[in-house]
Amino acid sequence: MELRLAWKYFLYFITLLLLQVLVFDNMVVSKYLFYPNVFVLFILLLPFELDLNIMLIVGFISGLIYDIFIHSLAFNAISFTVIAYLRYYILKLIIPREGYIANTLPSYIYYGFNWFFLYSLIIVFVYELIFNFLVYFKVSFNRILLNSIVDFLLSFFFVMVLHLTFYKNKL
Amino acid sequence: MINIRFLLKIKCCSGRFFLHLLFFILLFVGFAFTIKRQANWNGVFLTTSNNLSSFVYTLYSKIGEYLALKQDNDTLLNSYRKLLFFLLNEKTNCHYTEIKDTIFEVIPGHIIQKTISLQNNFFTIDKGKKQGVQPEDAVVSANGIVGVITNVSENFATGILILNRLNGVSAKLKKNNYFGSLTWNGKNYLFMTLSEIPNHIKVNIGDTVVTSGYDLLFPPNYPIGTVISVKKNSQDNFFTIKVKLFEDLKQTDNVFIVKYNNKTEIRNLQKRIKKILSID
Repeated sequence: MELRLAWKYFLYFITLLLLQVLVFDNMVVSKYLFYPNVFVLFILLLPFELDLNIMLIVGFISGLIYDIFIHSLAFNAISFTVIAYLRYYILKLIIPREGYIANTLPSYIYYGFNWFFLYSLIIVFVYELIFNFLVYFKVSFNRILLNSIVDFLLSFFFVMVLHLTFYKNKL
Repeated sequence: MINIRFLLKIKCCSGRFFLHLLFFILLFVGFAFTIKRQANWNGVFLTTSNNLSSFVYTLYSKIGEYLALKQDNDTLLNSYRKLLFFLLNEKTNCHYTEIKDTIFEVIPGHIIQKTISLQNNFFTIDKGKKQGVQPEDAVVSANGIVGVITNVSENFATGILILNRLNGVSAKLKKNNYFGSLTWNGKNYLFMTLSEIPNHIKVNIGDTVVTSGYDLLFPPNYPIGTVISVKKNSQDNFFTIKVKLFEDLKQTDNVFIVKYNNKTEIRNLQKRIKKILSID
């Protein structure tokens, strides 16, 4: 079971990474370089039971691998670590009334659309805020805000679309 | 359904403190990467990153390249046309810093049909009168000469390849400018014969043969081929030189039509001198 899940997440990682690097990174909109990031979905969907230490390391390494592809220093590594760290507190914050159920994943199939909407909204926004803060730190505050908001809208849209269309099966 | 508050009992091996510590360590490592790479662009990290990501990008770009091959080909043809234009015009009026008179004009085209097995081979290209093609324009490829236009319609033009038994091409040895006539014996499409080179000069195997431009068809100094064998004739004082063409005419597709703008002017002058000589 554990091994199967690990294998599934590995394939998941590869698919999302390739999708991000080869498709979504090329969808640059306007001269302000807005682009959607769907690779956050990998962190979003990590299982509840995963040891938090391991989760931090997974977040860091996956971010670093993505950084290697887009040559963005270690910006993604940092922001992925931060969201992997904050995910626990966010999950705690938006806990559904009946609590989290054993052997489930943080997905809309288990906890409904509204819950997932709120969950991904917070995490994607935090991610974009941190990432754009790191990228445009030297440029200007307005640019950070602008890029965060537009990137967030794009990313959030594609994360929802991808998750709702391709994630159909329960564990 | 068992409701378990997982989040209240984390399987954390060394307690919460370690978690926060790990978080800050990872953040620190991340910032260290950032700062170090900004300071020294040629760090070790960048080279490893190149290897990993370039593998995926190469694969991806190969697919993309294949799909965009037609477009790339057009761009290349166009840039080659520009280069050829400057090259041909620069060689003839090299005293000027900029090209004032366009002595040669270059039009790119595709061969849509050609024969190679006949004794007088001809070809058809997809450019015609509308694009400015005229009879007696030279047709060259990126490697070497191809043929001469003979007939022009609105959108197409036909011509004879250099592989024919009717006309020769005026050619010369690149190293010493001795010129002769390049003809085809009708046997192999890869080889032609250069004659009328006097046998007192030294011709080596591997020498380059280029056009002389004296026939007012091909632009001067355009590559043709290399010498592969030299034979001394017993009857006269000339060599028979076998030349291997640079251009494999069997697979030529993309060509350039070269228009020689001063052709008529030179022809008229030459006519005049011929008249004078015949009067005398």
